[in-house]
Amino acid sequence: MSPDGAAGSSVLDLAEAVPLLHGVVDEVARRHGVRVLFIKGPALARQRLRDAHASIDVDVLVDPAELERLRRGLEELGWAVRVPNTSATVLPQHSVTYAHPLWPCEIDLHDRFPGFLADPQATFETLWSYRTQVDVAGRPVPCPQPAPHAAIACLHALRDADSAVNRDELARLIDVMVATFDDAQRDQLVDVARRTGAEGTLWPVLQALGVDDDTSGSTPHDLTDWRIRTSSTGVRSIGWVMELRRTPVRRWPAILLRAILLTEAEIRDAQPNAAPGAWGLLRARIRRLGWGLRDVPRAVRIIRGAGADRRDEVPGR
Amino acid sequence: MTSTTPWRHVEEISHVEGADRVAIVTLARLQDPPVLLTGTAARIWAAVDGARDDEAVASEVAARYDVPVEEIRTEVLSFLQHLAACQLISRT
Repeated sequence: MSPDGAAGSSVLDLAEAVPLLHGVVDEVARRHGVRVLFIKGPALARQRLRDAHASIDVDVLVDPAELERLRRGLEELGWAVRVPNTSATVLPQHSVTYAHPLWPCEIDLHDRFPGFLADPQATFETLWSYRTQVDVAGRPVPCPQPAPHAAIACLHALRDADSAVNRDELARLIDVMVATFDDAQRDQLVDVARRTGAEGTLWPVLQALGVDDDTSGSTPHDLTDWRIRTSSTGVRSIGWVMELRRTPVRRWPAILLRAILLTEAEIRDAQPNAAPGAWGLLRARIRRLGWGLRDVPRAVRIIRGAGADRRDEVPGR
Repeated sequence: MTSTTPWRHVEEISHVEGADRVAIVTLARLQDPPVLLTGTAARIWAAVDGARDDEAVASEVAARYDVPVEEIRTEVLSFLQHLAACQLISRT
């Protein structure tokens, strides 16, 4: 018998790498004194709020005030931002993705989560106040309790509600909540929704659960951008059209130039089969421009349908 | 020469055990790449339970493979020393 020894990490599969990486990120956060909550993925599966299928990345909600410290900690270990994002988005950028040559999966560091419309720091404090621990890869790691964790998972599904996969996921989540949540957890869900500005975005879920919420989904937060985002899955130019609507006309040329060029890293990330070299890049840019222009009429219709009015959004115009 | 002090996995690790393979990362040395043990190496790892000593680990592995312990003792003990040198296991 000759025992196999240590093998290279390149042969790790996702079902191994993702749980292991939870331990790594938790350890880095501990060393740097950064509060983190592991969301979705294995933590959600341990709480029986999703199937135990392998995740493709590690999702971490980070104390917004300490995000930079955690980023530095990971960068000291060789993790690097995969592709710096310069694209326009409907909702504020909520995460940054890190990759490492020795790991087959990535880390998504979130300093906010789409659908929680309250201040990101206040939202984190609320979720932190409802934290628990689950065992992942033999280590206890912090994550939200089932009710707030379900809120996060529901918002994730609602964000791209046009997707059949997401609709199924949302229906499954609601079924689990209906079947397993007691009154205290339902109250907790309502409390989290109110304190994180998600009473409007989560209203379809609260309604489905029949929670006793006297707000009827009303919210002090503007839901316009959320409505636009949730009804524009796959509409490539929606972020740029939104950015133009938010911006004085005199600054449009710079935005349009950025929209047309984008960075080479982003172009090649979106079109991995693009040919190498300047000619390949140019062709990829032209392809992307064609897709974007084709989507513009639909983007405008969605924005108008959501009731957004550019003149109301740019004070002093 | 064998020791009667049991082996245990060190505490500062994350590990995922699957069918015939174990992936491990050492949290005390985050700069190190993850370790993957397969086949007999994974069996030896699994036999380390905080109660078994050298001989008990070798016997457990021999039983798993249905071979006489004398045939595998030397290599099992050698691999236990290797795991200990990598700070993945230690004597309790």
